[in-house]
Amino acid sequence: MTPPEGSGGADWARVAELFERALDLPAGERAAWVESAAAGDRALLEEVRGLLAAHDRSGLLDGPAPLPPGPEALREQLTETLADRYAIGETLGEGGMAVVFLAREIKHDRAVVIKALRPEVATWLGADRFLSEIQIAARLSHPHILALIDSGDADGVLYYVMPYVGGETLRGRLEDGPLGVDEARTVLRDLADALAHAHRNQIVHRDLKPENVLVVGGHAFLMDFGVAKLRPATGEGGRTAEGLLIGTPAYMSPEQAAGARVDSRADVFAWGLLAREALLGRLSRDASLSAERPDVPLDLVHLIETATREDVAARPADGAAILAALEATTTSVGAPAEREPGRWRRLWPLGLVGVVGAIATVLLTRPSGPLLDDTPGPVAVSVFRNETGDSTLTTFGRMAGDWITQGLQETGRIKVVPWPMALQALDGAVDSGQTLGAASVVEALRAGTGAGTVVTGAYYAVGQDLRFQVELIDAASGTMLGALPAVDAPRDSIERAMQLLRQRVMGALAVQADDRLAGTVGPNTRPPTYEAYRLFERGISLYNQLDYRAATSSLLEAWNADTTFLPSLVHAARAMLNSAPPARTDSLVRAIRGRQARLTAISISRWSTSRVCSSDIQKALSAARQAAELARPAGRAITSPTRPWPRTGRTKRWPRSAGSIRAAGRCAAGRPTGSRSATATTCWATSTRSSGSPARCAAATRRVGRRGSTSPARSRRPAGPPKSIRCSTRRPRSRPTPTGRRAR
Amino acid sequence: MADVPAPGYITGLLARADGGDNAAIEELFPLVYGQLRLAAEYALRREATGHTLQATALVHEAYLKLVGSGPIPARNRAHFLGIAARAMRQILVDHARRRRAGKRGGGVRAATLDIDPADPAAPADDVIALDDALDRLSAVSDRLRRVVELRFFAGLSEEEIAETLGVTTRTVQRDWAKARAWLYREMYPADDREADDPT
Repeated sequence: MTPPEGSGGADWARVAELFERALDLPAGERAAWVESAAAGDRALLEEVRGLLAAHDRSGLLDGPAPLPPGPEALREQLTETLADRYAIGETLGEGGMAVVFLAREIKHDRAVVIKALRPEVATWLGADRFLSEIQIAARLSHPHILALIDSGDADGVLYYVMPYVGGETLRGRLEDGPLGVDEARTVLRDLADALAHAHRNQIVHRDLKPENVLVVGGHAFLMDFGVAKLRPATGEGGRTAEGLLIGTPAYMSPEQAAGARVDSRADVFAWGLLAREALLGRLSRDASLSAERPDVPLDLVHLIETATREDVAARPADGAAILAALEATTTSVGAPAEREPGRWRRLWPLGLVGVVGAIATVLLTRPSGPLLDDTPGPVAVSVFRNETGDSTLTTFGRMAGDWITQGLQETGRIKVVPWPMALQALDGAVDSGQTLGAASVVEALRAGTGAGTVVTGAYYAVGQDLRFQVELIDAASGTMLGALPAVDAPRDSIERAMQLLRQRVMGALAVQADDRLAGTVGPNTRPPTYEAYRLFERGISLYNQLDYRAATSSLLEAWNADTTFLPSLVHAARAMLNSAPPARTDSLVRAIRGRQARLTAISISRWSTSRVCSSDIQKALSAARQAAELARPAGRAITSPTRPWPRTGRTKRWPRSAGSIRAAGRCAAGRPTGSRSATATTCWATSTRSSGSPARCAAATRRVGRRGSTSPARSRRPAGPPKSIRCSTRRPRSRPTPTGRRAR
Repeated sequence: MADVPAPGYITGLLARADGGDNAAIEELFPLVYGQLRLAAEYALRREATGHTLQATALVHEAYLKLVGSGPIPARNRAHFLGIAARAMRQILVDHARRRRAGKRGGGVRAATLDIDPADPAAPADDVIALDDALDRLSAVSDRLRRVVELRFFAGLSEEEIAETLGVTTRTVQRDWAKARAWLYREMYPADDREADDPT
């Protein structure tokens, strides 16, 4: 390029004036006029002549500005440069800054997602900066952070690779309307957990928004960590780029929007806005959340309000603070706005999988269903996926599968596919050397072993620790029945993790097979260890035999064995209320209140049923109806509401109570096997007794005795009418009522 | 999947920009850039053949998306158009710069700037030459630089440019003639002498 000439030799104002006036003349007269107007100023004359010549010749800029290249160009470049490592598939989405492709990682034959920055963005950022910043993000390994598998510079196209987990973005999910309270709570909890982990590692996300959140099986994964932190390299890519921030102003905290230094509290702010959007169905900084969503517990509303304070100092400090606050909020007792399964829609369609190969990573895009009454086929355990990126750790995957299988066999209560048979089914599905996606694993085990439930999982590196995650999947539908809380352990003492993992899986499966617990243990509730469950189960059996004292002690033992399994505590309190002076239960009641956030909706509702029925009949009835609604999926609709009926039903309410009793009877009759009907029958008997029909009570009691004897746990006791059912209509006034409060 | 912030937010930024808040402009730029970039691609897909870029349509579409159709002060609109024009320029220049740095063959398709009809094979480097020349032009007269951006990159009409810059249409016409001739001399000085093929 030549040095500037235009203003070099002559005064630009004069040049411009002469040039303009010359242009006003007919073309033929310009040259002569300029010559005279320049009045011997040689430089001036040259300049103006030059411009006039250029004007005559120039078609410059007359054509339209050209279009920038489309995503196809990016794809071509990626395809060409990465041919030996990735097969690029369909475009999953695109934004102003990046294009997202589905791809197959050839080495591991697995579906991945490649996000390629648009070239202009890449120019701004500079490859070195991009690769080093993304390196920081790559250190993050967390169950709710979409891991970074790979990143690089494909001949100028900067890209990074994430696992393909299916699902849809929260943005896509919100197109179907706002989230139910429980659904939102899970997503918000997952995100708070992810942020807590990042903040502990001194990483601020800076661009938390629904587009960056994937929702899979009701759980949330945060993606694009660290990318938002990138700022353009100075001196590269042009002046306008300075100050560019890949971020989304709509979710920015005031301090971030003002360009001030941001910390974890900017993420807290974005989390709050995202929470509002998830519950309102739209992004609004002004709308009143509590007015539009009266079903959201007030303490949750308050937490969200605090997170979105303009004043940085008034917000919770970081992800860990939100997480703690969130877990302390009350679990909703309102009817959950359940999502219709048929409307579940995938933004990243699975049909694409065919394009990239036969193996999809995860098909579990349906929301978690209710736990099943019965396990239709045996349980098969699969090899756990090694997501650590370290192939020397692959053994743990088999070890976990083998170990859990053994444990399940030892219970003697759960039908398990023997480990060699499971392995054979898995090996038969692929030639070997390939990593099967979770969906293929489930299908292979179902087809090869007839499994009804599949236990599958993966392990990740979290610093020096390994984190194991387990999912229970209904083999026929591919639905996730539940995800167990992750178990962490140092690499050198992995046996402890295995032990706990096995205990948890056994507990979860045992719980799942036990319909007495239906609804008490939601998919997101931490399952008990097997030992705790065994004690719990014994306690419940005793409770159902109305042996409240023994039940209390067994349930408290269960609680001591695993203090994360709240149903032990709830039932211990109920048992104690039935057998001891109310004052003695006060400490248990306080303990439950302190953990109320972790109770499932039905536990809460049951709990409130027994708590309120002494004082407020209407509240008790409405709690009972809610319990019935919540229990419906598990076929327990009838038994729950009958509990408060007889207790609240004084004589004048008899006709309504009678209806419930008949319903309980039908329920009991319709569920004839073993211990499963014992609860209902007991309930029926109790109802009948308190409603004043001695003859029916006696009949029901006999049935309880008969059925009770079919239950293994109860067979130790002699069959016959349990001692504490009294068939007299006149209860002694001193007898403690079920609530223990009303008696005196 | 484009992130479109609420129109009110952009309007607020524009008002701040009008008040001389450079941070607001810096924040606006990537938004406008992203929006235009996306719009340009959709346009390309609709019209697979030929590079008949309707820059005007793109800019106006971006305006509606980002600012909305409600009344906002004319000065704020002018700010928006100025930023949009600059963003369009950046889009093309960045692309050309990458392409020059790469020269990888295949891969990204060239976006040739049809700078000289007499030389249809003009290299894409000319976009960069134009960019450099525009920088030098702004030292001579920044208004001329803005006229070029608004007309060539944002595709605005002379009337719209006049409104945006607060000058008469006649002035815009004159500015355009001056800028174009000046740029041509700047970019093709060899034409004054004998051709010196850049390729």
